[in-house]
Amino acid sequence: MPEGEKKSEEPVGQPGCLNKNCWLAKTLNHSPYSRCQYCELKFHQCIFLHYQIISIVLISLFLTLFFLIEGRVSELVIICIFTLVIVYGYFLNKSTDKIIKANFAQREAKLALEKLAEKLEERVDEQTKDIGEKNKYLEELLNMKTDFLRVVNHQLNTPLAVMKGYFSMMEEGSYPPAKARPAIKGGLERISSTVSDFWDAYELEGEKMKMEPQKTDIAQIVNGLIPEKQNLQLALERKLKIEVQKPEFSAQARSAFGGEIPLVWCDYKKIAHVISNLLDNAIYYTRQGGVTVFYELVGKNYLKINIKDTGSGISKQDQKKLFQKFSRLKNATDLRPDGSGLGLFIAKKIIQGNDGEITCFSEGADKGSTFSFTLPIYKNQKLTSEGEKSPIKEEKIVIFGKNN
Amino acid sequence: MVTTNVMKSKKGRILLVEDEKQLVDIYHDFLEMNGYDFLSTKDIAEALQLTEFEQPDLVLLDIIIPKPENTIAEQGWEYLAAVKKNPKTKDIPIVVFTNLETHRDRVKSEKMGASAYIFKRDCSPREVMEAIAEIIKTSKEKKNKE
Repeated sequence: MPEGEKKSEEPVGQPGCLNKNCWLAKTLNHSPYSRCQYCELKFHQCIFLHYQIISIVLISLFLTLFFLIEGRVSELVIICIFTLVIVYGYFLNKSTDKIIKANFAQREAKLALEKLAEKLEERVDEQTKDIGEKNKYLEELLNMKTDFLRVVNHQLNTPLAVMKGYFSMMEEGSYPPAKARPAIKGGLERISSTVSDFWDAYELEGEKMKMEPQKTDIAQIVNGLIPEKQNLQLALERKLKIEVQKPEFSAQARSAFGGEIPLVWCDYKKIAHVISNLLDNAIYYTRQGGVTVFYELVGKNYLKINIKDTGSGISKQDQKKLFQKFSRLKNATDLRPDGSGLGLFIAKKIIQGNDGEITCFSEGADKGSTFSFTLPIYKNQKLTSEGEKSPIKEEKIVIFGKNN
Repeated sequence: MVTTNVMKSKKGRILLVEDEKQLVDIYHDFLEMNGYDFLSTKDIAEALQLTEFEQPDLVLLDIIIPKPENTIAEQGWEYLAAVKKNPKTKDIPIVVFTNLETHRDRVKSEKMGASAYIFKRDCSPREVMEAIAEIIKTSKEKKNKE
């Protein structure tokens, strides 16, 4: 059996191994007895050999016996013995066959199991790695959430504590109500703005917030906000200069949109909220210098609004994380004491909802930063029939914490 | 910062380390009205100096105190550790006065040697004052025994 010979190099126990000690393999390994290819019974275990030895011993025993008893061996006895030996041999041989087959099947099953185990191990390893990575990510997320909730807790509790203090003193009569009232009112406003921020963030995550685009004059929003921001305590303390750069669009462009700055198509209230938020941020993170707002055109269809400050700047690494929810930058300027930490996340979602894009540019820490966003220029857009154009196109599911 | 260099009043001198201006105002008004000397600061370095040189009878310590550049930070722990390390100030009772309400924070402040933990939102100024009076009393008794 050439195939068997070829495979005889295989180690013992593997299919294809030829047990050279096996008499069966050496002598009878041809049809219809070519069955020892997988026989791994060792020489002394080979049942075929046992059966042969027993047969020879039996034959000699019987022959000797008859010779001793009768002085000669009757032919009948010889024939009987040989018939018996052959019948006996046939059955034994059959059982040997069975044993070898069973052995073979067992071996095959064992090998298959081993293979499966190996594969399983591989898969388990792979999946363990995968789970580990996911776990790490989830842990990170959980930490972020814990941190965030800690801040939320603080943010909500602080005005409550103040209000409670004033209120209880007012009730005791040890404090004039006129003096306590503005403090309580301020606290209430702080709480409601924090809560509404969280609600906005929640709504935007599920993209439930509907945009109501309309013809909007951005310049009007900005010009309205600037005096308000200029009077913020922090801006006054730091003597920040907040100004709008006069746009220098070409005459051709100006005549195309019929004014200094083109009207845009966006949700007036929400965009005003974003601009106010960006200005606040710029003021908070700028210790000296100022904040400048300037406009650019992007192609023919978009207006870009830039808010540039001379503040603490943002490292390249942190710029990636800037617009994520719950993310807090690790460097010095991570959170405003009174901010919810959600402002930029909300801003991004609102801008996206209005078919625009928000970006941040900073050359690095302490080099100032520029926040820019685009909005579509008004060109006779109309509300879609239901009045709710589905605005957010990308990122169907917002995965917070994952780098965009 | 409000510093008073008058003679120590009978009731005691309180240092409030707190960044929330309105809270400082309330406690300033309330505690002075009730006969306490009142000092306050929102700067940790300054708070440490005040603790050492003014020797207040008690410190009310907020944990979340932003750094000068407006970063939220839990600077209160640093202050607490520093005060307890300094032999001149380690016997001054420190009351953690905060808006953090986790068990972990409570345990941490206890371990770091704070005398009490007051959750800001739950207490009116009067309740805080009563707690303060109690702690000052015990700490003075302890001092007298020594």
